[in-house]
Amino acid sequence: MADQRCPMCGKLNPEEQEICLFCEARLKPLIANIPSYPEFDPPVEKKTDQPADQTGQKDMGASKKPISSWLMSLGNKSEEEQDAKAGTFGGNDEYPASDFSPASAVNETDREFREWLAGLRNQTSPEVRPETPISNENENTPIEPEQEIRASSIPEQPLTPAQKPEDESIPEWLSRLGGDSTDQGGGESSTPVSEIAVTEERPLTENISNENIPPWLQVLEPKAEIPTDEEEQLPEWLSQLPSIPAVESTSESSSGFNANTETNNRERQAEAENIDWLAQLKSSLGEKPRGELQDASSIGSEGTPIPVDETESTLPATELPDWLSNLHPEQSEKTSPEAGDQGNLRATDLPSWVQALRPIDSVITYSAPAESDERGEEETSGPLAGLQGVLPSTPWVGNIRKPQAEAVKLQVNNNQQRYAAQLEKMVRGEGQAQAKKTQELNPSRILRLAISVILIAVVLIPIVLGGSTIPELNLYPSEWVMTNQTINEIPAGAPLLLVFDYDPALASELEAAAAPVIQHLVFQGARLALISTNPTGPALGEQFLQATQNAFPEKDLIYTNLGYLAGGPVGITAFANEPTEAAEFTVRGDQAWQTPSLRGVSLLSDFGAVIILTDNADTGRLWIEQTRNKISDTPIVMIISAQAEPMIRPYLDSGQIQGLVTGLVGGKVYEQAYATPGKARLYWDSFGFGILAVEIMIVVGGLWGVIHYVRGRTKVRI
Amino acid sequence: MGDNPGVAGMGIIKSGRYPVKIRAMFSTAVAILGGLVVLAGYFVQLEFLINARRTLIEWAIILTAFAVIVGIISLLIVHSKKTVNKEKGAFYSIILVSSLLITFLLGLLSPYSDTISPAFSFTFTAIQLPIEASLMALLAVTLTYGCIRLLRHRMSSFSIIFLVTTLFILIGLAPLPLLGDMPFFSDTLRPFVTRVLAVSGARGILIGVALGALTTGLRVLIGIDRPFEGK
Repeated sequence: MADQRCPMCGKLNPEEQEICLFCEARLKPLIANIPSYPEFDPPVEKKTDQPADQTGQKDMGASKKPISSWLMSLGNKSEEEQDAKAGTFGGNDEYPASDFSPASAVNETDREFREWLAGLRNQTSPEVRPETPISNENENTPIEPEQEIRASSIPEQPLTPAQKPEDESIPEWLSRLGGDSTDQGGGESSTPVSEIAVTEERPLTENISNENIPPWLQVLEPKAEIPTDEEEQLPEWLSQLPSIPAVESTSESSSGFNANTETNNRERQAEAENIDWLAQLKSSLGEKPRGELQDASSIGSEGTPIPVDETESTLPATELPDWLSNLHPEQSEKTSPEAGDQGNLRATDLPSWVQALRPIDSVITYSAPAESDERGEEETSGPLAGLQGVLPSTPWVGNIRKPQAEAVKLQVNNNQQRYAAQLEKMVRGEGQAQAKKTQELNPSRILRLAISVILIAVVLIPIVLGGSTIPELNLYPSEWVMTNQTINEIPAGAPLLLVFDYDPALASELEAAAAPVIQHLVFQGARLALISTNPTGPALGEQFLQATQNAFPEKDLIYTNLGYLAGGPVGITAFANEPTEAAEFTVRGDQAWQTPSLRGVSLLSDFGAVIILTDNADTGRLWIEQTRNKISDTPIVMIISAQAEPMIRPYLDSGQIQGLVTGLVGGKVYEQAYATPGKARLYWDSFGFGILAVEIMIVVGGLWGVIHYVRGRTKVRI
Repeated sequence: MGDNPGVAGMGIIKSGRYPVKIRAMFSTAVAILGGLVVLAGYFVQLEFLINARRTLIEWAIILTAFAVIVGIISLLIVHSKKTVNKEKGAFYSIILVSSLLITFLLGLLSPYSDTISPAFSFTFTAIQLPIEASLMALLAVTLTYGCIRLLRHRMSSFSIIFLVTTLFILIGLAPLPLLGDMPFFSDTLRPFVTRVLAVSGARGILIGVALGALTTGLRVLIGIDRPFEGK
């Protein structure tokens, strides 16, 4: 035997178990789907058209097979219950329908009586048929035998007072029997389902006369009487039970209008499903407590059959689950207060720290649900039967509200507002048509042209006019004395290393600054060696020395161009360590260290002085740092551009270099000191006029900017 | 290795011929060893260390010189392709390639020919030197224009300080026409600014550079920085 798994807790239970042993959830549903065919749901009165003889005959055969097993057990269980309470009802295996009526509450020993009654039905049914008081609109509709069999499977319903036979020939006990049956039916048997039972019982009661009552039946008469109090003690579920097959018969009888064989096959399948459903119902009824069964069943309360109205019959039973279709607002209203008394923990009872852990409450506020909604209602059917608050009675969506709109104040500062205004202006400007640009000169371009013209004019005028408009320097730089002393201490005829590490762009400035110094050294008979870490340096050195030679043709300039020193800092290091290895050849491919200018020189310290011409502070720093510890007492004199002075001067102040000539002013000082005409003097006037022009333009431009700024501020205030 | 997204398994991935980890370890070891040898050569006068330092420095010079050649070849290839494909600016590429080839040939032959040598000097003195000097002259015009427009575009205290300082230094830089040296500006203000304020800042920069170079060297020596791996 296979176990069944609980739908709630998922644990295995024995198959015969109805309620889970672990969570007490119902393992088998109380109500199964009742297949119905709304399009074929005719009025229930149609069942009365079925011949009673046919139903009676077929009932014994066809309906016994599927129903007998469970109904027999049901009868036995009902019998056991009734025995335990008040009396004994005879269980009948062959006529289960009689188990549900008081008239059938006879002993098992009265089997003969029942058989006799069955035979009596067969005899009287053809006569009753035309006397059926219920009108049939479809009298001519042929009813197939199989459908009749299903209709006959409907359990017999007790007689109702309204349909009580008026035949006075009915024995009193039989009349009382009918009245008892109506009492058991609850007095509300005016539904069509009970009428079906009337049509079946009527021939039986009408044709029974006192004369026909056999003696044994008369003896049996008092036994058939069931006390009223005992009838009232019958479980209501038992009285409701016949209504279920009535519904089934309704659907079954509706198929009687369809003569199609395919439909019949489908009906057979539906019948099998109904039987399964009934089997489940049997098992559930056998162990279900009375009160629970009363709540759970969809059968009308107080034993009334299900009222089959048109609206319900048109709804397909498969669209809604049974528990949902049976869930009425009245039930929720009834059960909610009761459930509310069970004392679930309320939200307001939560401690503050727990509430603080629920930030969702600050975002989404739920409408306070009703107390009944909080506790939920107890499920009365389905696998959730007996559980409370599992399913909400109302959709949660309706309880959720939008988050409260909170005004957010943007913290915008002035800059952001200005940016936003500019962005808005830009966006607005994109949508506006722009006028075609005219070929006008840009004011800034005009200004640049004006500046260029002014500067060129100012520089050219002194050169064109000639003369010396700018006075001589009265103040010498502080480094002049040290530099002059260093140069004067260089031995005559000593080899000098000239480093040409500047770009052609600054060649004019550096040549003007270096020319008087180099001329001074040349006049001392110095031998020169040129080297550069800049690819253009050797060419610049050649040009410079050629210019110097041309200026002093009487002096035979001796120099060696060592060319380009590759490697940058590493090359300088290598040259400081091994000059003969680092720069072995001249630019012409000769052995450099065999030339007259470098004869007797193998180390850097062999030079009389190292003169570095550079416009780059980093390059000058590299030469100083990489060669300082290799040249011992050899002085280093740097001729630099004015832009590199701030970075090189610390080396002068720290004593790492012994001379410094800075820019055009340094060259002019050297020329002025030695009274040698040179480029510095040539440039001096242009230099002075250019500086003056630049100063004037800066002052004018600055004032113009200030005025513009003040006017702009004034407009903003206005 | 942990930051390498391609690392997997034992931390070694195959990239090329050798595993990345082994290659990185080898590169780091070579860098550290080379640095230590060169550094030790300054402190310990051993023949082995001196020779090793000399060799390593020569290798570095050769590599640097070769890098210049590689750069020239790359430039030539790129602009040759542009010229062949007639891309935008192909005309300037033609000028560049032709100038490069001409200058290269002149420089290559100038030591051996007295006729070509003046031509080579002419290309420098008549073309390159004036062009670069002109660019520097444009810089003077541009700086002047910037100073004029500075207060109109950005009126701030630093702009005013910059302009005033520039003006004072120019006034004290050289004697003005018809005015000569400007008292206070020439003898006091300019020397103070250029030899005290500017030099103080420059010294700070130089000390920072020295400390940075020292730190970088140490980091390379102990393997923290691996510039040869692109880190």
